[in-house]
Amino acid sequence: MGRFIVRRIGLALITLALLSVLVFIGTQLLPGDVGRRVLGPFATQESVDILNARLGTDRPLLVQYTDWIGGAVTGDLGDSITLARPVTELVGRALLNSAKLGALAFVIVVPLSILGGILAALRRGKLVDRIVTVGGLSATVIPEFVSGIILILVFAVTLGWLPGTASAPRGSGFLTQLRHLILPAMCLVLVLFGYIARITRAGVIEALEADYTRTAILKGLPRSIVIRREVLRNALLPTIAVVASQVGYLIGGLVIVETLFSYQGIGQLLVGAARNADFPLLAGGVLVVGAVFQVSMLLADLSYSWLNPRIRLGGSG
Amino acid sequence: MKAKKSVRDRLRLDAIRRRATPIENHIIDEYAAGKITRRDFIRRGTIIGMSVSVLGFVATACATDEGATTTLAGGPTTTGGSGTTGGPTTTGATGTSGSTGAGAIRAAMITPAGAIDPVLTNDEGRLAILGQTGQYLAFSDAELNLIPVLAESWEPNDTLDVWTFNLRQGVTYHDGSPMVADDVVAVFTNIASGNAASAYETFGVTPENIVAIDEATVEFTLAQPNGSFPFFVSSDNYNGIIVPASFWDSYAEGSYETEFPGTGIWQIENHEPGVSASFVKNQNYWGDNAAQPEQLEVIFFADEAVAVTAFQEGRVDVIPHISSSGGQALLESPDATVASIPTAQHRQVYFDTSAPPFNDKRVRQAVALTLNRQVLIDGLLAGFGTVGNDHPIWEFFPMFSQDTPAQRAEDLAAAQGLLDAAGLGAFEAPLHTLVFAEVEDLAQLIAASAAQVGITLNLGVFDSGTYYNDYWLAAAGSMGIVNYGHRGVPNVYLAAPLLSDGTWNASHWVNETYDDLYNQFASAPDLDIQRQLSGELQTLLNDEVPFIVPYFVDHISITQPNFSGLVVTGMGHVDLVNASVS
Repeated sequence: MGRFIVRRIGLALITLALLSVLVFIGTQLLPGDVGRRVLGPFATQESVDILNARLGTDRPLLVQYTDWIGGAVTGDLGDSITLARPVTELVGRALLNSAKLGALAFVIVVPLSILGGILAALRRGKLVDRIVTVGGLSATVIPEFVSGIILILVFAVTLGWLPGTASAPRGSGFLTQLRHLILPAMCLVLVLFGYIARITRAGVIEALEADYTRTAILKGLPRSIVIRREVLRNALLPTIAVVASQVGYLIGGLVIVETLFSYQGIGQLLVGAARNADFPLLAGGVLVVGAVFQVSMLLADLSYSWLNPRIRLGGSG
Repeated sequence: MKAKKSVRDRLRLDAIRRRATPIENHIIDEYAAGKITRRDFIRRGTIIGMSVSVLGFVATACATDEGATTTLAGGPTTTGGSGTTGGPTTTGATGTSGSTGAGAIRAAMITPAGAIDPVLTNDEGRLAILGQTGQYLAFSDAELNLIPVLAESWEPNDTLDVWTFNLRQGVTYHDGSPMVADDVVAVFTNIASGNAASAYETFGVTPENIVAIDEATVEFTLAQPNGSFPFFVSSDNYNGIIVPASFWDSYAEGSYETEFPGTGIWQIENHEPGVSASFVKNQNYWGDNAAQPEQLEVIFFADEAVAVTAFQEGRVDVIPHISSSGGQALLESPDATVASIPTAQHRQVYFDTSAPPFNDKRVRQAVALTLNRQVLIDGLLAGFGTVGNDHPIWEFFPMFSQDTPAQRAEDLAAAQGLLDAAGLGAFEAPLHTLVFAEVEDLAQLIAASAAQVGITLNLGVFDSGTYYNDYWLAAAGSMGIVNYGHRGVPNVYLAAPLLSDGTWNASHWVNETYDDLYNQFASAPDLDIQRQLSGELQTLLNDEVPFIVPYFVDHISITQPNFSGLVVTGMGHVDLVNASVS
């Protein structure tokens, strides 16, 4: 197990290093002179040159990269070019916001969709199954900007039950913040529910039809015990992998929801950075999101292997 | 009684004229002779620094029948004491406030494009925030009057190349320190003379020398005479926020955000970049801000839909600026008060005049003749715009010449005739543009219009960075569309994109007659001559069509029905000194 963890961490670090190079190259491919982007088309060329010199964007790429990665290793991601503030401060705050929203969506969608998937599998072909599969799929294919606007129009504008913005006023308490996050979280639940529920349903059906389940039933074990011990433990393995893979999306991929609900999360921050060719902010943000993704995948792998001894034993089973 | 009054008036008028400079007397002569309207007299007078009380007196004393007519609400609405109260000409948004100034107002404003920093600012989001804490020497209001703010008065020398500004006394910054001439010198030395990497648009009127004559007087010496120079140090050039000279000692990009130093009606309380900002009333303001509310809460919106929902939910009292497409849900709503002002903001649909097929002006004229401009305004701007005539001299500029040329209208037969005369059959050309407001849709409609006479325009739509970097000035046998924001004088529109050596000449248009006319125009002190030259420029541009100006875009504001006292300008400045919620 120890070796497994060390190997996974090593792989994660290599991935992050590769990511840093890719991000760097990618941001260099962004068209436009950095100084020109910051100052706009109407500034004089002299001003643009002065700014480029001050930002160091007129130096050779390799120098810029080593300078940046050297800082990144020590936790200094530099300053944002457009916002003129430390990247760690900006990314940290945005990441915290994204994490709050992602966590709420996660807490709602995971139990709900697993329960839905199990019920659908146990009542295969019945009304519950139809509702979960067809309803879930329909909700998944509706883009967030459509479901989000519908949620805002119904619950915020017409009924006035919940605020249509995710940003709570300054200094709000936990409950107020939670209230502001409900609608955007619902938007994410709609996207994820059908997906996770269907994976769970498929896993449960497969386990129900497996030989070990039939053996357990034939042994005369009560149905509830068979489901708990034999079916769920095996059926939830793929679900866990799927859920873990959504953590990255929930943290870094919420651009549309964040924009719609006016929420300063990491997605919106990075889109703004890309738009303004703000290299330090974009690269630092992507690196941090990459790290979060790696950690969540690592945790998923660990829990997966804990549940599935064949992986834990290095594939020798 | 009447006779006595008129004698007294005449005596006072004589006294004014004796004290007036030759340039001031010239403008009074023009007005007295009925050559310019009352509105133009007041606008012109404010530019060369005549005091508002003198202007008001002369306007009445010399009134002619023609001169007394105004189409806009004429003249500055200020008495010179309070700086920024030139009101827009709309109904609904102008109301005067009699409130005691209690409470808070909540506004939804465009997200600043970067750090709030007077040096770097080149977008509406930032200039609107800067204008809350900071102030300019003068304020260019929605009716193109120049209102004295931190400069109490100004005057040029006879040759219009030395301008002296007399600063208001007793003005303090938020920290209590006094505003002095050295501060003004430091601002313009840094932003306009290349010391700081600034977004400042110099327009070729970079001051050669800026000196403080004494604590309250600053003198700008220009390389060339310029009759409109005060506009270049007014709110029209939003980088010219006056900050203490000490600000520059430790200036770095974004350092303005640590304190938001300034003399404005609001002091910063909190700022969360991209999310919100809150301000408290400046209790030591130099002007009259008794009616000002105690607090201003601003939420930023990156997407206009966010502002609309916040408004519908009642979370904001005012959206000072929204586009007709983004604000559509509110434009017809009975729960929203919509106000609009005409502005000089316009889109330039330019042709590369250096290469076929658009090196033939008949081809350019033909494309221009395929457009139904009113349909474009109705369809793309929900009617919030005025028709353009393929030159950038907006009809509300005082120097606009009414007479020439006739408005170009859709005429497909004439367009086809011009193409035939040019010996061109059906042809293809690229049309490049950027993602900005309705511009992408405008490109589609231009392509559809041109297709009626056999011209196929292949659209290329890019983000603004890519567009300005790779396509804008590189036009090769193509067309393109750019946006030009509102300005109080047309010089920037007429110089950079049109002069043969203009820095933003995307049309690659070279015309010596034009260059010569423009240079005369820029240094003409006399409105009558300017108007005559403007007429020639309008005719030349309309005939040559280096670019199409399909329309000018209105500025739309939306307020809750119980809100009053919003003042905005075409450029996007927002003044809430008299705002109130009843």
